[in-house]
Amino acid sequence: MTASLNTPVQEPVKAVSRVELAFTRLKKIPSAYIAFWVVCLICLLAILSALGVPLSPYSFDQATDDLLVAPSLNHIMGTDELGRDLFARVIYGSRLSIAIGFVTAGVAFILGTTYGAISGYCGGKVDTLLMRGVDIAYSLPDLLVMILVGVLVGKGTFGILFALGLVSWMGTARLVRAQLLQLKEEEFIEAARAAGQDGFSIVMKHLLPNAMGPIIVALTFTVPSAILSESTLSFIGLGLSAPECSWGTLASDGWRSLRSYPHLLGFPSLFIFLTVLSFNCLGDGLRDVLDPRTRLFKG
Amino acid sequence: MLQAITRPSSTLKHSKSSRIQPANLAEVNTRSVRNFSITSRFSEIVVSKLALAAAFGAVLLASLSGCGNTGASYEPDTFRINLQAEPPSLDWQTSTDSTSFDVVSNIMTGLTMYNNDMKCEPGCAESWEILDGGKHYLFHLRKNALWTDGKPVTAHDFEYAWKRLLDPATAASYAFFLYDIENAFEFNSGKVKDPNLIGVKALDDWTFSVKLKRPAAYFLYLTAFCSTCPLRKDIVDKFGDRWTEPQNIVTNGPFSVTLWKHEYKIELTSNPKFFEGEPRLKKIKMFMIPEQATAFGLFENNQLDYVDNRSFPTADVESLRNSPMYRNLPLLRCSYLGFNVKKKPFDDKRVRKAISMAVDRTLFPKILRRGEAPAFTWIPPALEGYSENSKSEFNPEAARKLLAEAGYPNGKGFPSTKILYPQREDAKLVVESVQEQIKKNLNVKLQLEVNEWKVYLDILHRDPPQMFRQTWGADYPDPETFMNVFTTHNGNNYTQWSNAHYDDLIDRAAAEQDQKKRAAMYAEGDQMLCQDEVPIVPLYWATQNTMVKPWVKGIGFNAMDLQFFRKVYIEKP
Repeated sequence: MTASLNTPVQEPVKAVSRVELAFTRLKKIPSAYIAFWVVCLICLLAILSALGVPLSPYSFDQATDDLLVAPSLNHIMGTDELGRDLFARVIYGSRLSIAIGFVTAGVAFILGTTYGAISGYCGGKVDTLLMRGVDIAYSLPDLLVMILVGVLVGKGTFGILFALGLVSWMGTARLVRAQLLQLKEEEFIEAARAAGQDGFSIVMKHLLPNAMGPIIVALTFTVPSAILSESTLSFIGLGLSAPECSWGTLASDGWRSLRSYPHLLGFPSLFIFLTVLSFNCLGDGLRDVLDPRTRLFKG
Repeated sequence: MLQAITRPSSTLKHSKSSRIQPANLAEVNTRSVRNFSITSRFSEIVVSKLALAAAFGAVLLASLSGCGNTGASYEPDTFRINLQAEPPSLDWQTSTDSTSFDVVSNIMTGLTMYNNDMKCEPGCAESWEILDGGKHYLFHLRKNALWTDGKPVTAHDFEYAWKRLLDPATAASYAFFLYDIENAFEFNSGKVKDPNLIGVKALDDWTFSVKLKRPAAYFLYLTAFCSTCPLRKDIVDKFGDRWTEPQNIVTNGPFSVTLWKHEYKIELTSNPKFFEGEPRLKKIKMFMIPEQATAFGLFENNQLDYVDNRSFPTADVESLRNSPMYRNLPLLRCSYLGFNVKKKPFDDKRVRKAISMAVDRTLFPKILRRGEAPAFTWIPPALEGYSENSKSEFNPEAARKLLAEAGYPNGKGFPSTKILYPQREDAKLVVESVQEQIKKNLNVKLQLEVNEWKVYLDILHRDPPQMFRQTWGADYPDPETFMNVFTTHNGNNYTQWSNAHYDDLIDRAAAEQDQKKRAAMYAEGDQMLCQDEVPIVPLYWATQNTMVKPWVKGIGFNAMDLQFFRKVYIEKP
């Protein structure tokens, strides 16, 4: 076949992967595209800081000569009551906030997908039973569960992750189950079954890959809500123990001196705000991009 | 479909949590200090957190609605303050903390009372005789001192109260207060079973006789303190554990408790039967607002008349210093780090000393910025017994050496160690600073553990951790009040440190009549605490920062931070 006159030669021939396609589509939604890069930047900050790369020119060691300095050229975000550079602390805090977001999303993914897949694929009584389980878990107030878990498991990073993981998987489970219920009636599943594939490989090879779009979108929304939950927990004093810090604990500490030193609350809050906003914009964009039914894109 | 998963964070909003009634949860929780469990700890955290959230909401509302509110909005004859926390107990015999004492000081009167100069003046006793070279006190009670139910305060009430305070079954930390009395310690420690052998006796309804085992220079001060106030046997017998609830409690002070909404507020009402006459103030409202910034917002909005450190955001001191309402006053109160000397690695005094020498006390005043003074000794400079020679020194070099000698060269192999501290802003800043200094100077990483005030106290009582941050405020203006804390049988000695020589020294000093010799003995004891044995690391001398609305008159301040409001009145500005 010859190339038509008004099309460049190389384009239609090249096979475009799903990821690439999604990315090209994402470029067409400006808010989501900007959000994508902001998310990347923040994640990069978090990873670099976790690897110990000194991103801030100032250490967050306590310096008693520079207590509560207002934002200036020396300390672009100022310093706190113990003379720690706030910029360094915010960067340092990013890794915990971001890690908490992603680990929670990971837990939600693994737990929720397994649970939802079993429920959706098996159907019938198993489905009813498992879904009532989800209903029960859903009806417990998150904050109460997290406080209780925090007390039982203990405060600190592990306690927080455990608590957040525990309250974040139900949505994913419901979503996966619904997707599978719908997909398993499709003809290609019939075909797989006729070809003699067992249940496990049908779920893993055919059902889940086809349900991936909505799952990814859902997880994108889990990350910011976990970051916010962690901030809330830290804010009411159930979070990390000092001197570990996350954006939540920084905001919580800063709130007390809001009257005289607003920068202590302002900067951590700004980062929480930016991250949550970006993840939400990205999630919105991804939903449109990954859903084959959206007709936003021609080409 | 997707919406389901985007919403979980909405259940976390503060507004939602504040809808749960903190008071109801608190009811369940009132007596949880003794039977500490996971559930009680859980409900404590929930309750106070929700109260915090509720208070936060209240302040937001207040700040939104109250901006244009410039007129003075005092409540006539009502004095509103912030207690910050729920008093663990109003039982003046088992209380050990200043929150409880702030309430008790205003509802009870002992044999004597402090005046504004912290001198003892007649209380329930209208006069007293000191006989037998200071070993025998004879108190003559006034006949017009009445309990709130109309019965007179008699010497028998004192005899019962003091014997109950010493009863091992009461398990009062403040039992040591009466150890100067004949057979008191023996009875309290179970060596003497017969309470009649204790040297206190009501000779008749109006004469109370106290026999000491040896003279004690400070004894009169003890009779002005909450712990030695009288107590009604019939009331305690009738209501058991619940005798401190407002509907049951019977008191004899200038005010009486008329309302106690747990975790919210206590209301005191003036007592018309008070022997000095009914106070001009008709009501004292004591709120329990844990967050300093929240409480201060309420003060600015004229919803509190008086704030002190508990309601004073550290960060704002500088901007408030110029206000005519502001006052700063040094206190006889020391903040210190205690070691549990029974637990590793602090069973080795070289380790304790190394930690002490690695902490630079001069940093704390800079961090806290409320006019604090660094504490190098346990006896404050204002009291006799203070000596430059007792000072602990800051010397990281020597500290590292000591640590190496103890088997932890450069911090290697140092066991995991936790510092316990109460959930208070200044405590957090201080322990974080200590943590960093120890890391920097000794290469030892300490963990921090924070707890609610009640839970924190409970842990200290039951099983003190390796290190803790505690404060001690003077109960009377005498070095004895500081030195006694670390004697073996003092209920407030959480360090478990026990030294026969020290005990003996403090005991002899109490009886010593020669002021110079007495001071030298205390100085020697202080040196043991700060240089030789180091069960504690004194950190800084606290100050009290207060702001008082202009319509509040007659308020007194004292270095012991005991708050008496019987002379306070509200006057239209």
